[in-house]
Amino acid sequence: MLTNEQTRVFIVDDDHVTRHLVRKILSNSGYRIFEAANGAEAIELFDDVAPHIVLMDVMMPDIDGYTACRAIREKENFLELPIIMLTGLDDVESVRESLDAGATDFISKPINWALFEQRVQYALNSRSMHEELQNQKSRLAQAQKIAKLGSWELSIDDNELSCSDELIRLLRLDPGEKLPHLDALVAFAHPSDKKSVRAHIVDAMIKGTGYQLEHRIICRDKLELYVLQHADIIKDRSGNVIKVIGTLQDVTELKSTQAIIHHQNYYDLLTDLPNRRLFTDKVIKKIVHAKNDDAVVIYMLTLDNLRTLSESLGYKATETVLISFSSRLKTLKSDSVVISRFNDNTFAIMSSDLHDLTHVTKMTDEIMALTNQSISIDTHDIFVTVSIGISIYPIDNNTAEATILGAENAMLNASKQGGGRYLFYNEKSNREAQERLDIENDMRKGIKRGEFIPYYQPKINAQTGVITGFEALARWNHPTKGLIAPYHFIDIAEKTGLIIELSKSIIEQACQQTKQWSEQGIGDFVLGVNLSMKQFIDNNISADLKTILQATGLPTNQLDIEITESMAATRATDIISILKDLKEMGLTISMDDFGTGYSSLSQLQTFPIDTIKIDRSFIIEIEGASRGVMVKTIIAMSKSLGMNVIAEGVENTTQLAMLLAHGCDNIQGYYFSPPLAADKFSDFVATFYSSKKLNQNSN
Amino acid sequence: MSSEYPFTDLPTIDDSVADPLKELLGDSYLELVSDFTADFPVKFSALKTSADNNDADSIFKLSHTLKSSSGSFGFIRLYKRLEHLELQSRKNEISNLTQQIVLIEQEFTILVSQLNKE
Repeated sequence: MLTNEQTRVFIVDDDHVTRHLVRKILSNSGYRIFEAANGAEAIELFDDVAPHIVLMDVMMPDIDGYTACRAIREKENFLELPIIMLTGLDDVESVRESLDAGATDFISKPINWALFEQRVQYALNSRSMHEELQNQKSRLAQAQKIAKLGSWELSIDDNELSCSDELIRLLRLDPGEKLPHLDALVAFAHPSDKKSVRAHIVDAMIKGTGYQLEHRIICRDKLELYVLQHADIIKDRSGNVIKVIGTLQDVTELKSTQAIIHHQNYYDLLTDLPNRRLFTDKVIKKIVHAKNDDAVVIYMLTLDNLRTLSESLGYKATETVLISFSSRLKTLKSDSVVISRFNDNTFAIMSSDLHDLTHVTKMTDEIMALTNQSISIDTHDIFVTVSIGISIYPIDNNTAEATILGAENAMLNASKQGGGRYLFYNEKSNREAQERLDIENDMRKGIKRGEFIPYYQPKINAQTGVITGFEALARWNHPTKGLIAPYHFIDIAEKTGLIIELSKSIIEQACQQTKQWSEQGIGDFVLGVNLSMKQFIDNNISADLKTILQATGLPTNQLDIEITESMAATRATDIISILKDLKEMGLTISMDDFGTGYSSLSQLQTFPIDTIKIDRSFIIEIEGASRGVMVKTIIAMSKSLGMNVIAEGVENTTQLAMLLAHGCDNIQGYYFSPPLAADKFSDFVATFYSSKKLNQNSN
Repeated sequence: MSSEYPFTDLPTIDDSVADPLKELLGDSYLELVSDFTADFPVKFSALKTSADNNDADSIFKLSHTLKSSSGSFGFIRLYKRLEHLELQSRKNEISNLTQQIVLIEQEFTILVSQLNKE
């Protein structure tokens, strides 16, 4: 606020006595007085004087007070200048005209000198307060701009919304543009956040309490910002909400900074992989939320020869290796895998889609395979090997920390044993994994050496006494372990993918044998072969079978494809399409193990099936009332759908008699014969027709 | 009649204006009044000439100035007479001003006489 000594008073009056009196009176109080004797002089001197207040006579020669007042008001920066007009007593018209001309106030003449200085002082104080208010507004606007903080105010009565300039700027609206009501403001909320924003405001009005909310907005120029919204409620004396006032602060940069800080805290700078802290957090979370059957596998990997590399090529080379290896690790990434640079040269992987140990060893092989290619550093091609330690929750350890530690210990042991290998934390797991690996390697060799051979189990029409065909079943004729049943190797073959090669070999051999028996006049049998899901989906089975049939010369009507009910249920659309192809080729289709799945007979109509094979579990219990009825039903309905029926696993006379009684003539099972080697099958055919068994039952 | 302007009950000097002025100005008050009484006859003489010449604009400006000065000191009767003259000249009713000018002159004489007594 100005002191009197700093205040310049400009008295404009043609009456020198009035000017003189004003000067005398106000200068006594320290004011600095400047005078003009008429309007023209006032306008001329005005800029030099730059007064803080003007006292202007209305009635002056030439340019009167009104004109001079208007001229002053047109000047920049003097909009707030107090101009007090000196008017005639009771001259209402002069007062009105003065105010129209932009005067702030008026003093009637003759001047009441007793109050004169107070009037001047009052006008100056008002001006100071007004200026201060303007300054505060300006500072507030500036502060809002710096803080990127916009404000709004909603009047409940008329739903009128007023917004600060900064809010308008924040929303990328044009300066001076207005938002008519609250909905127009809410409309800027991100579509996903709109509901929440509206709910907060409504809730605030109803409950009469403020709120704080972080949400996104979409500005007019489509820019997306994060804002922190605060709102408070203003009530009247009766407690009714009359206003909601709110602020919107742009916190996009803050969020971005927070994200950067978060990234620096939780990610490794060199490889951009999650660091030890984040990895451990993720493992803890996974294990805390794990259900009973969920398993979590931790793989800890260390690059074996990194220290030697650092000593010979320097730390930069080490960094290059780490970056390159981490990039390769990232190719393993899937939704269920978390990869981390755990510390200097140790990486950690968490996998939560464990099915069995085969899956773990497969993953381990994939990691090992990442080291097959060299890493180029300047002119050097570097090969690295890894030592991997594996620990499984909840098999090996029952907490996140212990599982991680277990994997670390296993990794150190693998490293101590020379590196380039993996070890399980658990010795039993190590043994099992080793056994499986041995079997797998053995199988690969076995397939190459032709150790997998088909055995043939005959299918017999018990009514006519004719051997109609046989099912080819794989056996492993192991050089040291003897004949191995499928139970011991099919599962591994499926999981490792060896099933495709194995199955192809069996089908090839069986087709060749069947053709040979036809040529030898032993019989034109229909060969039934089993196909796995993998063959169906992952391979072009139609083309494969066509090639085999062409190579062996077996007529297509002598090959029957057996698929299981569960396969049909899993990928029905794909399977139907492939089966149709096979049917077009002239092959027949059987549904194996029928009754074990969920398909109904009516659903079967959608499949191009020729034959239903009733699962052995029904036959074993056929003597029980419920199973008996079910078998009878399956037979009757299959026949009504025009399908053949074969009963599998028939072992005794009672079962055979009941099946015949129900109308199932085609029989497969130990009652007639177990699966036989090719040479034994020829003998079986030769002796079958003279068999008394058949005669006994046919009688 | 315009000369019968209704202020005959007013004092020559309005103390409610003059007293605060005396208090505010102290010794300067008398000096300023003295300047006024010295200057008044000069301007009044010009006013009379303007009246003789029927120059309404000049009468208006001079009567306005003399009115303002008189009012500032609280010389209320003189102020009122000059205000009356100012209004008439503004309306260009200047055909019969002699009596008013005489009355203003008389008022000024009375004022000076009263001031001399104080």
